[in-house]
Amino acid sequence: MDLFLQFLTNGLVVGVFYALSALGLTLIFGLMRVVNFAHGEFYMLGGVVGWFVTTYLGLDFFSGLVLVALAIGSFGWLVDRFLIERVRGQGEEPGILLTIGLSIFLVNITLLAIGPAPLKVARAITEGPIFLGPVTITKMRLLAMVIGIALIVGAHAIIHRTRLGSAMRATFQDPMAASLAGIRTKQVYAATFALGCTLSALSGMLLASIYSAQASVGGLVSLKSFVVVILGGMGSFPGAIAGGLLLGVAEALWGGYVATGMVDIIGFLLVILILVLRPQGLFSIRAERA
Amino acid sequence: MTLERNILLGLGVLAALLPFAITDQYILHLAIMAIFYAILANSLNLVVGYVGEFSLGHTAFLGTGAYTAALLSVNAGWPMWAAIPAAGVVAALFGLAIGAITLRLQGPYFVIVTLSFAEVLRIVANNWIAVTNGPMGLAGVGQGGIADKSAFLAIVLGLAALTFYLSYRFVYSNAGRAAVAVRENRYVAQSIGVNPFGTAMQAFVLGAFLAGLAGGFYAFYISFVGPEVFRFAFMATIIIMVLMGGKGTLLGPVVGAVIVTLLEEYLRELQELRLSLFGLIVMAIVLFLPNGLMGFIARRREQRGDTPSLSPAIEERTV
Amino acid sequence: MTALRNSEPLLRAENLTMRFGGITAVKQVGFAVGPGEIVGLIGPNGAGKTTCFNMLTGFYTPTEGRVFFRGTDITSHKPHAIARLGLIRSFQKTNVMKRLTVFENVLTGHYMEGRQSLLATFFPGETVRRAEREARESAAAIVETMGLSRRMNAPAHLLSCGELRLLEVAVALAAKPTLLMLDEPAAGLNSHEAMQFGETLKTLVGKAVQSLLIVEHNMELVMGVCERIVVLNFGQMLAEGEPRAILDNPMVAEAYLGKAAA
Repeated sequence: MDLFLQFLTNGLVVGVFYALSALGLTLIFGLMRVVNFAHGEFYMLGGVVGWFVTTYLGLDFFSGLVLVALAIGSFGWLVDRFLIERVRGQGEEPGILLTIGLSIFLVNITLLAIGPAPLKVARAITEGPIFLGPVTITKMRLLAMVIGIALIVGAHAIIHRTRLGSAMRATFQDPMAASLAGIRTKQVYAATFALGCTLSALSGMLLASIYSAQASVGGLVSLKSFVVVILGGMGSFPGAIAGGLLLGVAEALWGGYVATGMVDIIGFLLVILILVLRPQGLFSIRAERA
Repeated sequence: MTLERNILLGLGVLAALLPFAITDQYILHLAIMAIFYAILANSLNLVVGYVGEFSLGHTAFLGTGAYTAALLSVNAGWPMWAAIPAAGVVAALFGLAIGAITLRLQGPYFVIVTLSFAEVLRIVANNWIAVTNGPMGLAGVGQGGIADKSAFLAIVLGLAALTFYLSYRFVYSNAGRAAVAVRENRYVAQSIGVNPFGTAMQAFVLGAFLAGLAGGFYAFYISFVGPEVFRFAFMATIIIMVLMGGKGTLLGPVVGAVIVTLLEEYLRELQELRLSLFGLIVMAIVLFLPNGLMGFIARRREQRGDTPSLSPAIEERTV
Repeated sequence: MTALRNSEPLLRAENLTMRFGGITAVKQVGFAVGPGEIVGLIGPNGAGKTTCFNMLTGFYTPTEGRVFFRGTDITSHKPHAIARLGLIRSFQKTNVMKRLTVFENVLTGHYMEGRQSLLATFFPGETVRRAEREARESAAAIVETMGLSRRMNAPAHLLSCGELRLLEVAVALAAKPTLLMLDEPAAGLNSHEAMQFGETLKTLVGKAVQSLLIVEHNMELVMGVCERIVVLNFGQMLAEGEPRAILDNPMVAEAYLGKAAA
């Protein structure tokens, strides 16, 4: 039982970060219908830029987080405004290809800049384990998890309590009507994309502070984020969270009880299963057939 | 389009004459790789251009073919002429299975689920040490067989000829027109009796078969197969070739394959730089040249009044 | 049900009902089309005409009710299966493949005739070649019949509205329909074009097609072409009968024709 609880805890910790990243993607993929293959690269950039600002600019962890959010958010805003905007409405394919190109570009530019080696983001607090009954968790993981949850709550607040959030929800229900009502849909799209990228980047920085930042992590993260979004239902906020936690726990349990090598396979098998059995995901807001 | 057919035949003849003019092993290698990529790109083009859906899991078939050929050679001593067709057949069977599941989906769902299949295969290949030898891969494929580059060139050319013959026949047939109909307007297609799923399956399985053949060849040529054969970067390369050349035509993938092969070799040393460039090129193509080079050329001809058909499937055949 | 002329109707719809969530778009609609008939389906916007079309041709599965074509129950059949039985329909405004030429569109419409085994696709023999030739000849003939010869090699997206309507019918004709169902085929045509169109439609019945079912708003066309009219309103049957009877029907006039000239 103890082992199970430990695996569960590990899974929940990782799950929070999957959820955070998937949240970003569900906004972008679920609501905007942009198949953003570069999503993992924004996550990666979060870690890399986080390393940069904490190591070279000497900032502490929390200021670093803020700066990363601003930097990646602006970058995401620009990407949407000047790249994705051009192919909106042309179906999914141009978006897929565009973001694949973007992801290839970002990964390799980063490799050119910092090389392939993993880098450490400065810790926020001193290392050390905390014992919660039979379960062990490091301080850093706990903190990161707490910050992650706070960010999720913050994102929820933005979407449901601010004017931007209302504008977003209106635009995604009916862009034409929103536009007629005076909403500047282009700005809304850009802001949504930026928000999505920021969430991903922050997730990346948080995880980088636990493990490390590395230029090549993006690919798998993108895929897993897609898995979570589809599992939870496109555009569903609770779905992304549930899906993220579910995936984290499933991987932890599989890795713990069965085999550590094939852990990544779980997500893909799950998504195949879901798309065959219940294509609209677990929590879809629209009863949408794939 | 007879023009297209003639150009393809011309290129084939050129390639066949190559070993008599050139003995430089490196150039022969480039030619072999370019033709290999042309087969691959063409196989993806069948899916993208004639099913009209974007499959990011095509490496699943390439990899399946490669592993099949490798296993047959290493474990059972099968020669190339038996192993490669077997690779194609096994890949086609995978295509049947995967297609039956994925072709019911559309748009981004199709993209993600096809990608998931490829990833599952990659992870399995990486971990099923007993069969695939894991990350160490299978070495010594085709040992004791052919080693001469000219011979390999002849073989890959033969495969290319088969590939393009089958594709050409498919595209310029009733079945090909049906696929175009589904791609252009799914509702109209159904109202004239086309079964979108069945048609998509045809193109998909054909694409899988051809990719499997290419994979089988790859196994023997490189004489080594590892899990990297399923990796996404490989997929991205194939996509770039189809995009660059122009999807939905038979010549497009060839053009794309040649350009990309040359780019890869020319910038071989500067891997990251080359790949960054690739990324930029892809973005540029999507934004400015969405129908690839062949599409661009076709549009120029149209504007100048030649009016060739956009869909090669319908042009008058004189064969 | 109305009194039909003689034999078993070609198409028979019984108690068709369509519910989407909380909305009932069509309720208990039933009518028939006999061989050799031209039937019109009319009603104000939102009356459920296109929904009926979709139910008849397999694009929607009716919540309740049945559809019979030549005696076979086709209620939950897939659209392409229904097409293969000889029931061909057009769509409002999007019935063509815009990037292909007029000829290519009509040639593609011959799909069902040219269906062949995979082997034949890859290794075509004389049979296949002959089928191709015949399909091409037929396509050219149909384009001719519909008066689009001038535009034979023009990409469909360059066609005028009237020409597009003709092309839509041409594509449907290529599929050799027994019953041809047209959804607002005269939309966007001026009165002269519509009249000509109506004449062309009349010549088709008994030759290229057995029967015709059209949804239309253009009253002149409907009155001039249809032998029998079914009127829907708010998803329900309002009236059914010959054009004169419909025109004189005060309920119809009130619901629909009210302001239009009788």
